[in-house]
Amino acid sequence: MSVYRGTILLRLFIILFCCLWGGLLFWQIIRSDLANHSANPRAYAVYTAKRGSILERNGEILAYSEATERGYERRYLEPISTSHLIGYLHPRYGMTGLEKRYNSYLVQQRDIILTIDRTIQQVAEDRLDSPGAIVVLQPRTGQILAMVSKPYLNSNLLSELWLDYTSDVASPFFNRGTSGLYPPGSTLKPFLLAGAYEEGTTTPSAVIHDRGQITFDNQVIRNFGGIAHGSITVKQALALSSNQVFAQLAVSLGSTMLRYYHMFSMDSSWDLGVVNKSARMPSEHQSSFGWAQLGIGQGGMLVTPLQMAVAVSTIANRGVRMEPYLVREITGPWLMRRYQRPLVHSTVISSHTAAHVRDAMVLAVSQGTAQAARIPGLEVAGKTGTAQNQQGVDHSWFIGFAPADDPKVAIVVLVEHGGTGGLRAAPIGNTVIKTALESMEERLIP
Amino acid sequence: MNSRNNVWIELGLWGSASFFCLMHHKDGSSWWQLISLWVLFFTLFLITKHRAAPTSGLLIVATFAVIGWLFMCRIDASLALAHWQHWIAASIAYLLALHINWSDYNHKYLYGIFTLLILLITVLIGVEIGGAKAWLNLGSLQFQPIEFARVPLLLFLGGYFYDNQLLLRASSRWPLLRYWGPMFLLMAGVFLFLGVQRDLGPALLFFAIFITMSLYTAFSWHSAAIYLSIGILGVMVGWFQFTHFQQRVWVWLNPWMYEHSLGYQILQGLFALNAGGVFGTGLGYGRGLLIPEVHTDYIFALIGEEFGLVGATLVLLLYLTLLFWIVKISAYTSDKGHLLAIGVMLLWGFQVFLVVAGILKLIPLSGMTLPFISYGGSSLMANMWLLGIITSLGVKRNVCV
Repeated sequence: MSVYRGTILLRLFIILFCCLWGGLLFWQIIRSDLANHSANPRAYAVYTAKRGSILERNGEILAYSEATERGYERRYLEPISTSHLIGYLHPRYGMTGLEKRYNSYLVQQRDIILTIDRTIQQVAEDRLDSPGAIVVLQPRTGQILAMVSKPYLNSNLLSELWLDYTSDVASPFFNRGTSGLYPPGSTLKPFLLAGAYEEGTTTPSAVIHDRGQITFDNQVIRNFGGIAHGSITVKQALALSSNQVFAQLAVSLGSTMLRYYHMFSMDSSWDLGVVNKSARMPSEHQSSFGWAQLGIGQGGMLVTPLQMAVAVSTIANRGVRMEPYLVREITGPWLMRRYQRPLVHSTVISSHTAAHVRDAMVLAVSQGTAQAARIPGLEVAGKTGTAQNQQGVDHSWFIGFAPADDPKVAIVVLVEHGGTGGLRAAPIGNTVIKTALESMEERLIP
Repeated sequence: MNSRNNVWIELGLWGSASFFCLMHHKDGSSWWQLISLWVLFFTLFLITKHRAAPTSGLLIVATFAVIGWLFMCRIDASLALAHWQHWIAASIAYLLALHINWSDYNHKYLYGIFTLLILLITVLIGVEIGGAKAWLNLGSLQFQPIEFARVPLLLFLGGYFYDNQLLLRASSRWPLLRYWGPMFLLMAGVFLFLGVQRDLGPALLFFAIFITMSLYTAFSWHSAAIYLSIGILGVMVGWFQFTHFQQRVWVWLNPWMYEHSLGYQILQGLFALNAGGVFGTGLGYGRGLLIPEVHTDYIFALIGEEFGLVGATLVLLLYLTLLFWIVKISAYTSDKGHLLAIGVMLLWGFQVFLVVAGILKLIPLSGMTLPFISYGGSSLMANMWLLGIITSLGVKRNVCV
C-alpha cells in the first residue's frame, strides 16, 4: 500500500515550518543582545515614552510625564525631597529609585500610589536645615508617611546641576534615611528598657541611686554633663537619660540586649523599592564596659533612621512590629490592580511592657530631656539622643510618637553633627508631629 | 479532531479575545465589531453545516480573523473598522464560492487568459505603491489585482494538470513541448507581466507553486533540472534588470549596514521579535508600531513581540493545521478538485513561509501579506474565495472513494 501522495507535500511544509520555528527561536531567545542595539528604539524609548504618574497617598502628583516636541519628559513636583525615594529618569543619567524598581508597571502607563503624605514630607523638608534625615511612619500600618534626607537632588535639574551634585562632599545621592549608619546614642535606651522590663530585670517603679557615673573594667561612664540625679525610678532614669542606670541595666542583660535590638529591627533591611542598608550586630562577646557602652547607644552599635523609626513604631503599636512600606497601590484595570496591605512582622514585646516604655517616654517629653517636643494639649512620647562619633560634633537624635495613647505618627529626626538632641532634633520633631497630626485630621485619616 | 471539540475551542478563543479586548481598550468602543464578527462566522458556520460541507477550515480561519482583528484594533481603531468591513466583503466571496460545485469545472483556458488579462490591466493602468506597480484605483477604492489573479491562476493550473496528467507523465525524460507548451507559454506571460510591474514577491510565489504542482503531477529529474535552471536564470535576469531586486538582496545579506535606511524595516522587525521573548510583552505593550507596514507585511513581527514565541508558534501551528485540513480534503475529492486543493495548499503554505522567513531574515523580503491575518481587503476576499472553493470541494456529494 502506498501512502497518500498529498502527505509528501505536508511533510515538505512541516520541514519548512520547522525552519521558521528555528528562526523564531534564534531571534526571540538566543539573540538577547539585540535589546541593546543602537538602532533598537526600545533601548532608549523608555526615556521618551509616556509612563504612569507617581502619586502621594492622597492622590496628588509627585512625578508625571510631560509631552514635549521630543517625546515625553519626566517632571517632578514639590516636595522635591521625594527624589531620594522616587529617584529619577533621565536619558543621560539613567533611572534610579522607584522609577527603576517599578519601571515595568510605569511603562504600561499604570500609576504608582505611595504611602507618602505630601504635607508631612514638605514640612519635614522645610524644617530639616542641615544634613540629616527625618522618617515618619504610621505605627498601626507601617506605612512611610514621609522620608526626607538632606541634601537631596532636584530630579528636574539633573542636566544643569549634575556636575555640582557629583562633586558635592555632602553627597546628595546618598539617602541618609535608609542607608546612613549612625550611632543611636540615648535613643537606644527605650529599647533596652523594653528588654529589661520584658526579661524582669527591673520594674517601672524600681528605685536606683544615680551617682552620675559608674566604672566598669576601670573605665568610667558618665551621665550627660556629669549630673548626679540621686535616687530615681527607672522611669525617671529614661526621662532624664541617665547613662549610669542604663549602663547597669545593660550589663545585667548582657547578650539578651542584642536579641532585643535585633527584634526591634536594628539589623534589618526591607524590600521597599529603595536601597536600604543595615549594619551587622555587635559581637556577643563583650566586656562589662562593652555591654555598658552598647546600653547607651555607643560602642560600635550603628543604625539607620528607618530602623529607628520601625523600632519606635513597634513601641507605639503596643509591641507589634509592622513591615514598613512605601508603595501602597499600583493602579491597573480590573485584576491587574496591585494593593499592598499592612503586614505584621512579629510581636516583639507585650503590650503591657510597651505601655510602660511609652509612659517613660511621655515623662521624657513632659519633664525630661525631650521637653522641646512638648505640644500643648497633646501627649507626646519621645526620647532624645546625642550620639558621640569620630567625625566631629555629636549627632542630634529625636525619636517619638503622638498622641501617646493612640499613636497616629511615629517620627525619627537625625541631624548630623547637630549637637544636643534636646536642642536641635526635638524641636524639629515637635513641628513635624504637629503638622502631621493636623494634616491627617484634615483628611480624616483614621 | 471532531467538529464539536472545534466549536468549544473556538468559543474559548472568542471569549479570551473579548477579554483581551476589554483589558486593552479601556473605552471598549470597538466591542461590537468583535460581536458582529462572531455572529458573521457563526452564520457562515451554520450555512456551511447546512450544505454538508466540512467546517474545520472555517473555524481555523475564524481564529485568524480574531487574531487579525485584535491586532488591527491594537494598531489603530480606524484600521480595525476597515478590517471589519473587509471581513464582511470577504465572507460574501466565501459564500459565493461555497455555492458553486468546483469538483468538475471547465474552461481552464478562460481562467488562464483571465489571469493574464488582470495582470495586463494592472500593467497598463496600475499605480505604483512601495516599489511595485501593483495597485488599481477604482474611484475611491484601491485594490491589488494580483491578489485576485491568483484564484483563476490556480484554477487554470489545477485544470490543466488534471486534463493532461497522462500526457504530461508520458515522457519520463525531457518534458515534451507539445504537451507542456500552452502551460509554459501562459506562465511565461504571467512572469513577464509581474516582472514589468516589478512585483517580485508574487512572481516567486507563483514560481514555487508552479514547479511544485508540476513535479507533484509528473515528476522527472529532467524537469526538475529545467526548473532549477529557469530559477537561476530568473534570479540573474532579476539581478541585472531590477535595482529594486539587487537592493533587497543586499539589504537582506547585511541589514546592519543600512540600519536607518533600507534595512530599517527588517531590523525593526527583528528587534520587535526579540523584545517578545518567550511570552511576549502583552497585547498593546510592544513597540512594533515603529515597523513600516506593520499592519500588512509585518504583522507577524508584531504578533511575535506581543504574544512572544508561544503566540508566534501557535499561529504557525494553526497554518500547518489548515494545510493538513486541505490535504485531508484533497484525499477524498475528484482528481480535478484534488489538484485544485493541492494548489491552494501550496499557495497558502508558500505564502506564509515566504512572508515569515522574510521577517526572520532567512530569505529576502517578498512584500506579501500573511493570509487571513494581515490587513488588506483584496487579499482577504481572494483567500476567502479560495477557502469557499476548498470547503465546497469537501461537500459530501463530491466524495468518491
